[in-house]
Amino acid sequence: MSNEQDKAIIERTIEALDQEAEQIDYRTQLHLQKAREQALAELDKKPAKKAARGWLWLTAVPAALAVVMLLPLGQKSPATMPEQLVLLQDVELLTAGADLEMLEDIEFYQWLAEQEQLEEA
Amino acid sequence: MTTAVLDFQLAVQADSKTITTRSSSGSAVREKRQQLDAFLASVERRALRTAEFAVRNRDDALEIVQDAMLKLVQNYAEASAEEWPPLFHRILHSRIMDHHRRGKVVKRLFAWFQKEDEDGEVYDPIENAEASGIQNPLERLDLEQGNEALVAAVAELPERQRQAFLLRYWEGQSEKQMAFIMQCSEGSVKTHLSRALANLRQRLQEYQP
Repeated sequence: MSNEQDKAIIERTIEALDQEAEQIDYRTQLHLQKAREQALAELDKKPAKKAARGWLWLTAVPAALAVVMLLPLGQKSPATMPEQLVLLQDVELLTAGADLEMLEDIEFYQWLAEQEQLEEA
Repeated sequence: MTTAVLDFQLAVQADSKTITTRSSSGSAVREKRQQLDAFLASVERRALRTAEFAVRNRDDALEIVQDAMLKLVQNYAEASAEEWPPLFHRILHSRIMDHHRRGKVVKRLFAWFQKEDEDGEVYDPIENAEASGIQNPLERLDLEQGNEALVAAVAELPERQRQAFLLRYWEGQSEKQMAFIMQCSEGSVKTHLSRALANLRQRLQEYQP
């Protein structure tokens, strides 16, 4: 089969695909429009997200590292090693680019811990 | 080339000219939003059909496209407009692959409930459901002529071949960009593309002018 015939197949197929895509129903078009608007709304959230990431690096990561470093002091037997490994995995997870929801959770848990300390005092 | 693609290209050209003359960050954000909006509008329908070919379900395809749009804006809004197409398609195709992987997990879960039939063979409801929807393309060509037959022939190509064909000829991506999107070598891209064309030729032989 010649290149000319291949070219004809490609052109005719793309034309058919274009026509089909142009005929997408109104309901689906609205879904796509809504999806686009929701995605673009993320542009407004971006500064808040960056600030949250900065907060994470300044507080949560050093705190998690401190826990990992202090853990051996209270270690009684080698049986506690898996806990350290789990904590190391947590640190890895924290430094791998967390979602905003997760950052908000960390903030909440820190607040919760502070409240508990206050109540105990 | 569709009017939506031309609109996007014109928007990018117009925006790149105007963006240099404006200095305030507020207007730059607006320009970026307009560019992104024009880009997403230019690719959304083709992205939907591409996802729909792969997952054979419009609602799932819509979800995949929405997710790809979201990830592009969240992670690559600051990239240049020329970089968006390969980035968007890479996200889109990764989401399609994730969908297939989840499908395999569901299949494994179904295995818990599988029962053997009279011949002692295990019945797989998902596999049987998928197989029942596919007709012989040549039989379909006998029944339907024109656009539907051509679109069906593309839909019935194996996943990677269809992906290569659509990216090269529908999206106008270069082989280098396709290698980035498909996460394989340029050599593999050429192989998938050549097989896709051979497959289409065979499927459409009775449709040749």
